[in-house]
Amino acid sequence: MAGGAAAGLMTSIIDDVWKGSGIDGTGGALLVIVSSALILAASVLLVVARPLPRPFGIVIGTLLLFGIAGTGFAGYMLESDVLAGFMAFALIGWCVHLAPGTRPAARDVPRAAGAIG
Amino acid sequence: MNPRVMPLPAALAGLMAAAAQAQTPARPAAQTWPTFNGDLEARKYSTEAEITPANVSGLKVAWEMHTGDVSDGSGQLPATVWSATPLFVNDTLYLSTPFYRIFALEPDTGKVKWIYDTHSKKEALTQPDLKTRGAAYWQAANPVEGQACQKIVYIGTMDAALHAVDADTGKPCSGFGQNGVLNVNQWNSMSATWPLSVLQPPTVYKDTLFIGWAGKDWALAQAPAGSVFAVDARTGALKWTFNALPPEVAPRTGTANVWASMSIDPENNLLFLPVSSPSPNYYGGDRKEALPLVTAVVALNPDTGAVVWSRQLVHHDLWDYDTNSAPVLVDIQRGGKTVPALVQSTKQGFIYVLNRLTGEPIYPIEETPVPRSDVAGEQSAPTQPETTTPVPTVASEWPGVSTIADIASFGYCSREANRLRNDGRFTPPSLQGTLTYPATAGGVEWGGGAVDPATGTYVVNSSSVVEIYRLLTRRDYDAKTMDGTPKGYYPMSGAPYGFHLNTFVNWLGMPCWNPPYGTLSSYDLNTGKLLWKEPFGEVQKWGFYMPLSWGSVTIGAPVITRSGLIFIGASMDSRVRAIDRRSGEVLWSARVDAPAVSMPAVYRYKGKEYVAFAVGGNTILEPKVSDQMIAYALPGQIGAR
Repeated sequence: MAGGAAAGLMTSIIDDVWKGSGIDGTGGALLVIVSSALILAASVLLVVARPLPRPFGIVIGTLLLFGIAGTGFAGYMLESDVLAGFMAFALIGWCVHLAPGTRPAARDVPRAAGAIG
Repeated sequence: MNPRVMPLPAALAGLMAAAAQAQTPARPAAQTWPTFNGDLEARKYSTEAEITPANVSGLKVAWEMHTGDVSDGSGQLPATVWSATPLFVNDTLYLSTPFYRIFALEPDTGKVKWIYDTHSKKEALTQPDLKTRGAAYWQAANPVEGQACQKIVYIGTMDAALHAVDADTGKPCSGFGQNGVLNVNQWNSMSATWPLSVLQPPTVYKDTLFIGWAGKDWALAQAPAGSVFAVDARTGALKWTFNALPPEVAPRTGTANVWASMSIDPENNLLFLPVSSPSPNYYGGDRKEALPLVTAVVALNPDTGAVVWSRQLVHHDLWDYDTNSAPVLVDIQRGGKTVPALVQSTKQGFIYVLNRLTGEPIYPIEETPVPRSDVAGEQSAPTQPETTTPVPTVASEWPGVSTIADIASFGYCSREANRLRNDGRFTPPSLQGTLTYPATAGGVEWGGGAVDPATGTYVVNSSSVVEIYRLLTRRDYDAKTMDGTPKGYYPMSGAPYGFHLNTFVNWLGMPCWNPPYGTLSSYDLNTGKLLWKEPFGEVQKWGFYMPLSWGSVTIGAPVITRSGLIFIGASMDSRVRAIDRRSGEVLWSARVDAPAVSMPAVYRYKGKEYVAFAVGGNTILEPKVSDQMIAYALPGQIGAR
């Protein structure tokens, strides 16, 4: 997910500055730079701050889904196929993130805390 | 040495050159693109056939270059509008730029051979932007080897100068005008107002240049009267002047100039002028006389300037419906006979097909009753000449309110549509505001259409734009503009009314009318039937592309090739396209740096076919400009580097 977001961010920046992109300097290009950066930040947060409290994890996960889908759709509307592709890659990462064994169960959090105590 | 005394060898050479009949070929050699419209008949047709519908998908960038002559208007310079069609002739690609320089390029690499700088003022003296639509080329029929200026490239400037440059060296032709510069403004009937800007390259035929000019619209009631100057191609000496307006109306009106390109029928020795509308553009109460040569197509004898025939396309023009593109000349088949036709596209969306020898309609034109003006002092025409064959590029009724734009503006669009005067096509400007469709933005703009003479297929791009025309009493206008002139206000000084014009959009900038905003249409001129009509291009807002079915407002023109392809830029989505002439299907497209609002040139060099676009942008379409010159070709053809 973070890889897709990072690649998406790079693509968006190139689209914004490269005249041949057809969307250089536009509001749409700026929008996907910001959204890709936020997806990247949230993805990194999921990794470095794990395990997250369950409600926080749900909120971040939901926002990530909307962010990835929205950025992918924006990429489609901007006719930036590469960006849309990377968002599809990020979406796969998001699905993998949900899969059992790839993230700590929320219920593990208090148990772990208790173990420390 | 006294420059007036010519050495004997040079004098002999000059005599030989003068004896040789000068020419711009009526039928250009297959591989060239020697005039703005490709040929004198303004057909925009190439006999090239190596790039075909079957292989066009393999088209690649052959070369690109940047002239450096570009401004987005954010600095001290006005923005640039670069609509130049490159010329390919004399084994060289000639290109004018909006900084009024000529570039001579190698046609297969884009490398610069020479550059000529006019050092013209980079000021928006008549137009809001720095603008050029190209260069012109003349050559003697039998150029004398070693003698300069046997082949000449011309460039006009905003400040009314026409420069003549040796096509091989880029050096000024000192025998032309004064040291290579002709001051066109010397013939300005009102030189204190504004200069006669030469933005459209002159039309070249035999030994003569036919020069039209552009002025400053909507500013003054009294303006320089529309004129075309015929000058000697070698010397710039005036041969004759055509005036569209009689002298007695000069104190009350002006313009009716020819700012677009012209066409020539070499076989019948006729010059065709698209004559624009008179000033003040939106109020005619002070010019009630019949002025038959304005907003008209006019045929002249190119040797004398005498009018052969004329046909007015808008009576008592109140909409700025300039006749704005060169009439396209083609022979069509009607009832088993070959008919010499002229096709005139218009801002109104009408396509008039006339007999070019007589001006009589080939397809019927009917004087149709139209809404009358309710403005004090105005006397609008009771009828207008309308044609339904070929079917107009824009409908007679406006497209209606866009639901999306209306919702997004909380009902603004529908409220305005109900408030404005709208009695259909040709509703005159009013004090309450008139919903005008089609508007001065077109319909069909200055590029006009292209024709395949073999099949009689005529292809034209057209916009669907709704604008609001509103007259203001002088007192109201002065009150509105007391602290400067806000956007959209135009004084029409000298008239009893000022004018306000705006495109009918909501607060988000969304068009309040239904798409499509631009189309590409194909007609069979032999029958007058519409073959196909497709939304053309894409609208782009904040970078986001809208659905294909919406199309795009278009400026520029198509080119047709013998192989059945249409090449066109023209859309606001910064793309150039190849389209199947038979079906209208887009077969190839490529992104470029800005909207390519020029028409392309198609040429062959060293056995290879090229399609070249000047990518300049146009601030009417998008706030995006460029100085990119780009040529496409198929890889691996004969002559490939």
